[in-house]
Amino acid sequence: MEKAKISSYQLFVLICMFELGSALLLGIGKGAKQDAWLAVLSGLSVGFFLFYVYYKIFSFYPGISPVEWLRAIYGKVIGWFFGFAMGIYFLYLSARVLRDFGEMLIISAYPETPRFIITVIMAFCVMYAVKKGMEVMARTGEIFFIFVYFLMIMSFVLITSSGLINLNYLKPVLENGPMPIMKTMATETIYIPFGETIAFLSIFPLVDKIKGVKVAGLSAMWLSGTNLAISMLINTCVLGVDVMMRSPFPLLTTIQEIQIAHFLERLDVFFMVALIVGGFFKVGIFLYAACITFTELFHVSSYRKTVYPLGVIMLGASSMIASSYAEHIDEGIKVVPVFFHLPAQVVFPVITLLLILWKERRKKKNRQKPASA
Amino acid sequence: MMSSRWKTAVALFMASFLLTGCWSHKELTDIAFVSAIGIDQLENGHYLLTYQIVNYLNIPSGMQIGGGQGPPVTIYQTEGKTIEEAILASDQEISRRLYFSHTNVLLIGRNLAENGIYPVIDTFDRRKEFRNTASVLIARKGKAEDILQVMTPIDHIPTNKINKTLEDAEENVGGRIKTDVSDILYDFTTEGKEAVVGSFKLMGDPKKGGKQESQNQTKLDAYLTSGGIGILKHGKLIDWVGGQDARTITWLLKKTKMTSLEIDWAHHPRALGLQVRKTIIGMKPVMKNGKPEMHIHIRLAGQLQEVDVPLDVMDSKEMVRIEKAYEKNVEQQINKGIRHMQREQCDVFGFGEMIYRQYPKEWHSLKHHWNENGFAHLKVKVHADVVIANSELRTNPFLSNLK
Repeated sequence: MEKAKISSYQLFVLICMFELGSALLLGIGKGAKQDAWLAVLSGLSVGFFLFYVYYKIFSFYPGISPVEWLRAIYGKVIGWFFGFAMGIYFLYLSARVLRDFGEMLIISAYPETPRFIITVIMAFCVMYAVKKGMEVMARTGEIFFIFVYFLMIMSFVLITSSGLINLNYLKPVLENGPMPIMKTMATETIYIPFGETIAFLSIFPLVDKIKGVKVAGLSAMWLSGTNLAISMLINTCVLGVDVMMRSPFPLLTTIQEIQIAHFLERLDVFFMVALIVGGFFKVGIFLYAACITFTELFHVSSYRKTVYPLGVIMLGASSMIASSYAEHIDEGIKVVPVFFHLPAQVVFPVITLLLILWKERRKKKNRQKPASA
Repeated sequence: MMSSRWKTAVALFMASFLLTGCWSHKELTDIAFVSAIGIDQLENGHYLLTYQIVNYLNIPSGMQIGGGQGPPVTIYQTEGKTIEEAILASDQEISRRLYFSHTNVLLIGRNLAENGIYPVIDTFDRRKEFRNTASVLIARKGKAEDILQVMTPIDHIPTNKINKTLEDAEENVGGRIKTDVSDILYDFTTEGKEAVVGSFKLMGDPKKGGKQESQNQTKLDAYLTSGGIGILKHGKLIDWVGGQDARTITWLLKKTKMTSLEIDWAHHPRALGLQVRKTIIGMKPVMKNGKPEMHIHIRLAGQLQEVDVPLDVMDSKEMVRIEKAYEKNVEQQINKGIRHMQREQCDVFGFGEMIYRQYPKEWHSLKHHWNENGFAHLKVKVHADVVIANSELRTNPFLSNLK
């Protein structure tokens, strides 16, 4: 565990940046077609529940890291095993997000640059920040938060003022009933990005007030979730369902459509910067969570020693997890949510919380028994 | 102390490698800005691509009269079995790499348009440099290469002329249309809507238009002018629409704001001219006994611009009668335009799309062969509402007071 303190506002900022990260880039809930924004909102509602579960687990073990409470709940061997699985999971996700951004940069801007070079530069920035500690990350986040939101509001104003929005593209709402939305929610929008806040279990202990975690977390999820829904709404209204579904990076395509008075055009590079900033935090937080987990598991004296080794593994993995963009996205939509996200973000935390509640109740009973006897 | 200095030095030295910029940077002197691409299909099925490359040195700027020595644009042509192959072949011919980010016009030859433009749209939609805000046009007469060779006075870059002309004509006159790649893609992929595309044509002698000497006269030997609307069905050009029917299309696509309308009055042919300043169009599908119907409401407001008969303009009852006559005229025009498209069995107005958005459940049973079974027999009710706001700076025409 790192000895750092962050305020609840800083946690709020970090969660916002983390949620926006790759979800803003890739566009989520595309499976629901013109109702993608509804799928995001319904994903958010389940996301609130999941976040509350994570918070509740944390509130029983404040101030200690996830690996420690896993040992306390499941015993030494099984707890270690679960912790190890969590660490691998976080490391894998950091590699996936890194790959997402590497692919985006190659496809949209740097066709001749090897992806490895792009990811190396990005990964070393992230590793450096993670090594500096969560306090530094959080302060960086505060600065970039204003920057990213400035750009987002700007882009919103520019898109609406250039008359690109056609609300008719949203109709018919619920064309095939609520089932497609439910399906997209259950297979996609719950986990990416809302359930991914499970990585913050390693950061909660650093927050100065326990109560602040709940307020900051839920409000950050509300803000970023509604923003994601708005961004999908705008993507659909500007591009129409067909192009939105066929674009690997819909927001980028939307931004490219901006054309005001033959003067303000081709702003995509400007907004790519904002997307990359979000990606930086998402990769960074996953890597941080992985580092903290592995440090505790293998009793390393400081988590800082694990940053570069794990970072290099992340870098290698980002190239190795898939041979092409199609394979990468296919895995991300079909395999990862069902086999990794569902167990790690929903099943495991809920079972853990139930176990904790059961243990607490038994403890209370045991305490009451001697008193009555 | 020393060691930390060394560290800083090494770090700064390493950073210098990052400062060089992009891996694959191209200097301005290595790229050729393509302002328009023309695509023709040859008889053997190959594609002939014509690139209009901007010669920035030769564009006269506002201050300096005359500009450079040569023409403002240069033409290169390459051929290939696929479009991609033809673009690659340009490297064998042109000293610079073609740069498509500033391409504003994609001109398609008539042959190719009749054979289908799906392959063209796909390659350019996919290209990362190419912007989907570029307009797509069909060369009305003959080949795209001929049009791109013609030099244009006043707007020295021909693409500027083409785009500005179409934008103006679309909004202020009607019957002309400027569609960009995203519009066409939307029409191709949306159920119940067929694509329309604008056109440009070459008037005069195509051989003379490419010579700079031809610019040294007031009446040009060859010049470019906008053409009517091309109707695409399944990506293939099936017909041209011009005149009032074309204006009906731009009206119903909500592209036209102003236009002029003339009617006969008191047995004088085309006696009254109305300058329309404002156009509001409402379209609504309605289900009647399980059958769709379109209700169209068009509201035009304008001023009398031409009065060639003795008339009391200040008589409000007379004006109401004129308005009524205009309303009838507009309704007839729109009905005629719609019937034209119904004969072509091509729903360019997007009536099917409106039904889909309003009545998604009913649409499921209607969508099969919509153009042939649904649109061709669709009942359309048109209601026009014309308001004559004033008659400009004069009231009654001097014809009323002729001695």
